[in-house]
Amino acid sequence: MRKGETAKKAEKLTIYILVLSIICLILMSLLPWISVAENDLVKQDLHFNFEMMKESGNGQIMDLASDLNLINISFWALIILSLLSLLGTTIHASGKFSVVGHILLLIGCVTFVFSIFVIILQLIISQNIGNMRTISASAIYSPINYAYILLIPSFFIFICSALYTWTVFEHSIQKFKSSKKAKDDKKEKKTAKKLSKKERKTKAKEKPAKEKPSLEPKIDEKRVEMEQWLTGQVQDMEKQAAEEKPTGPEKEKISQEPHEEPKETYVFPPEKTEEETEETDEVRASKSFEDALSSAIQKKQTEVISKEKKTSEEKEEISPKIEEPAKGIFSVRCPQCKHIFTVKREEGITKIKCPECGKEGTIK
Amino acid sequence: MNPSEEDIDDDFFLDMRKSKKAAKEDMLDETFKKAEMLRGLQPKEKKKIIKKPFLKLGFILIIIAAISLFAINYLPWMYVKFDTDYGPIQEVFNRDFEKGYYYDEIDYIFDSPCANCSNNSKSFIGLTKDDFINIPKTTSYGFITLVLLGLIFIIFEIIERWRNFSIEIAIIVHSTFAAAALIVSVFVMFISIKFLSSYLVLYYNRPFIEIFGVDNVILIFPAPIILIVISFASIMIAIILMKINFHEFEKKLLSEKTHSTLSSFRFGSKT
Repeated sequence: MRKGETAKKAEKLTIYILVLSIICLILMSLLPWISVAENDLVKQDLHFNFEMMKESGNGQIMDLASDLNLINISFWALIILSLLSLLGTTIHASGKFSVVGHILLLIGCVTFVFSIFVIILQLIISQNIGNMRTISASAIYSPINYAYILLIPSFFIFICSALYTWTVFEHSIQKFKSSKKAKDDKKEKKTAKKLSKKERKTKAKEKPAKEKPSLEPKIDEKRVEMEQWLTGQVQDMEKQAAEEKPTGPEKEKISQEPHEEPKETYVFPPEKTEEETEETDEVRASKSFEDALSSAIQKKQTEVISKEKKTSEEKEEISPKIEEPAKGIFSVRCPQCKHIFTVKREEGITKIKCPECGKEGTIK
Repeated sequence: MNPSEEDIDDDFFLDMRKSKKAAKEDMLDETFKKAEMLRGLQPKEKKKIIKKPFLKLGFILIIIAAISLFAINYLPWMYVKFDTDYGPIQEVFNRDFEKGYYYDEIDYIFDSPCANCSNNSKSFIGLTKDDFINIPKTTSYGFITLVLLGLIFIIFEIIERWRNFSIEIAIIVHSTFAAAALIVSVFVMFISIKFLSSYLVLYYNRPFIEIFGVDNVILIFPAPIILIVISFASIMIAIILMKINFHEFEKKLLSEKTHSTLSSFRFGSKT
């Protein structure tokens, strides 16, 4: 059963209990309870209501009055408890001070005990009246007594309180179970996290220092692409240089050398490339060529480094948010650039914009 | 090509153009209808704003208590009419059972003058003269508590305007005050119901009063009856207010649920 349904049902039942308890309290002091046969000046039954019974000098009537007083107290307790539970339902439905609301709801379950107590006391009173010789129950007509009228709403109170107790206990048991499950899940998650961290650490230790941990395959791919591109560029530049300054003996030298050489020479780090370029040829050693090459390499390197930094920073930012999403925060994947970014959801329609490519969208 | 053939060709092209135009118009209509349908199917969600409760409970309580205190102090507590050997007598009594002209005769209605009779009961209608002194006091205390509750609630309302509490706190406090007012009202009603009960007992015990020469007794308790009506009204008001407050939260709960289930996000639309 959902929270709203439980609260609604509990609220209805508590209102029934409250209204019926007030009716019972009014009926208690309104109706005549007993009649006593008088044989003095008037030979007739004298009818007693609750107030008259309290002020009577007869011991038996006084005992009955004390029992009635207990019923009266019980009805007052029922009224107060039902009011508390009504407040509890309101607080429970509000979502704030949910613990207080739940405690008040549970306090309302005591109405079940009092309703049983009231019924038992009424049955005892009617039995006691039946056992007395001079005292009889005040009756509307001979079989129907006024005392029985009160039994009807008290029985309804008993049913309502039983239903209320059932719903509240069912809800609280469910809540307890769900909270226990949530706790267990949290514990499991924590242990899994700890284990994974340990495993990662051990794996990191086991791996040789030479092998780079390929945490960022995209960057590696880009690096390879860039290397390929660089080699292509170098080749083009070589060709251009060769076309610009070719002499007789130099031409021969160039033709003798294999074409694959520059591929090997222009690989990271840039120092190596410089050394190798010095070694290759006099034509390549021309200042303009060297400058252009070094500047191109440096540019690409700085780009790669900056991209690496960016991606690592973004990953660091996103990863905790993905693991533990806060309330109202969504991680959204842009359909255009596949960039994952977080969005804080507000009430109603919220506009979102991809920070990478600027594609706009909405969250409902 | 004959001129008739040319005409036929022109007609054919004209028909073609017309059919194309018609198809285009149909397509436009369809798309327009679709757009309308989409609009109709996906209406903009209206924001359910929870209004703050009817925070006039303080004023209501004060007004109720003022009317009741007026009734206690200025309305007659008992009107009595009975026949004696000397003729019919009628008398009105205010609170504290102020001594009237027929004070001693009326005494027989409340207390039995029989000394040798059984000690089952001294009163025959469940009321004593002390009740006319004590009950106005206790009821007026009850209504003074209602006034205090109302004042405290008004102070809370003023503070609420200044500090702007959350809706939840305002509603919970409102319900708490309503509950307190309800208890006080039930207490006042329970005390005042004695007077109504005396009608029923008088119906059964009339012979015990008539034997002392007080015949055809008619009793009316204007102030207690008004108090019962007022307390009943305040009980109903308190219950209704509490119910309204609960339903406000219920609405909120339902709206939250629907909002969470309907949540979706999409790219491309700028609405």
